[in-house]
Amino acid sequence: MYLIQGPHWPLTLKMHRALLIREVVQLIIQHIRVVLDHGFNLGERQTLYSAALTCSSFLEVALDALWYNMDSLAPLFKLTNFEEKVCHFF
Amino acid sequence: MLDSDLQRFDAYASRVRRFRCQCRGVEDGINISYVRVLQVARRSCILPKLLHLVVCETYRDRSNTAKIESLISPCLREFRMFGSSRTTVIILNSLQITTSDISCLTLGSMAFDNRYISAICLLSQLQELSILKDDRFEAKSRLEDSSTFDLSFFPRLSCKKSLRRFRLDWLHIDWLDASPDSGTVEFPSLEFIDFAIFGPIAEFFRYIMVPGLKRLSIKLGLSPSKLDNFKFTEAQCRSHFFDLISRLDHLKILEIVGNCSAGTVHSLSLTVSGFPNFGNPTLEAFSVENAESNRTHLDRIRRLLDDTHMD
Repeated sequence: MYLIQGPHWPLTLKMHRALLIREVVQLIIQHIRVVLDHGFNLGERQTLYSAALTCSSFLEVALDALWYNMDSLAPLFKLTNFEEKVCHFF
Repeated sequence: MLDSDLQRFDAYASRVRRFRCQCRGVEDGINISYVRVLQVARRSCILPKLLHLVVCETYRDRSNTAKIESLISPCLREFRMFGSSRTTVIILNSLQITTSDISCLTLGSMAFDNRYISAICLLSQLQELSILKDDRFEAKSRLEDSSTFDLSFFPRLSCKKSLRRFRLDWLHIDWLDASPDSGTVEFPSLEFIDFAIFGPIAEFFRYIMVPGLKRLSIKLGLSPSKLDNFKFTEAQCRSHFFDLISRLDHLKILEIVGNCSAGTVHSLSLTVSGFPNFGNPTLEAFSVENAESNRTHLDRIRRLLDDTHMD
């Protein structure tokens, strides 16, 4: 909850309760993901990444959309230390 | 390798539903060493919830088979592969072992033979089958295989009772090895046929039964990249296609596009839609009921029909 002070306020900003409904968030994210389904657009990925960082209710849905469509496994392997260890091992 | 590494990998790998794999040797982002490490860690499938997999093999490498097999998940629904004949049969066999739910299969830019048909027949849930030729891809990958499809494959494919959509895209149809005496072949669930071919396709329609066909799209004539001596005559059009149409009670959309050489049909382009029960098509039915949406095409078919005294 955020509190903003002003001449005619205080106004309390709370996340709308609708956004606590997973299906609603999925619909919002779906609008961004439609573009991704037709290609790998860096800008849209950045939007999804930002959405994932917005709040906890967006996190899982946005991450699912962000990773939904891939054309390389390199980002997955970068999440681990595989590269360093595997190269050393082999 | 630490458990935390694997847990982190799994947490994100399980989110991937669609993957397009460009087999380009070391540049494809799948180091075979990674794959082997994961397999040692008892993860036979790298992407456990993958639904759609597209493989473009532009670079032939022994490790490609292992890479692709490691991507096949138990819940895979759609598999598309372009550019290899040697690897594909192995991959198709892996598909039917690993997943029983493949409903959509696309094979492109590869020589097609009996081994493929055998493997395809084992995919019990297959509903959509597309066999494509992509000249641009073949030029890029420098493949020597030619894309051909033997008509004798159709009787074998009719074992696929679940098949709803069948697409052949610019293949050479080889009729010589087919057996005309094989009787009528029935595709009970087939609703959509989309053929773009050069070869005696009219012969094909002499012995197939597709009682539930809703959409028939046929493009005839010359391949975009290759001249062919294919002859599609008005007589064939009359004897085969219109006979076929008269037997299709559920047909709603019919598209025929022809572009043949001298002495045969110069230009045949017909699109008919909106017939809940097609029945016996007549020239009047084509020209009156579809005049608004398909006037150009209908004019052309009318001239063709007038020339050959068809009514």
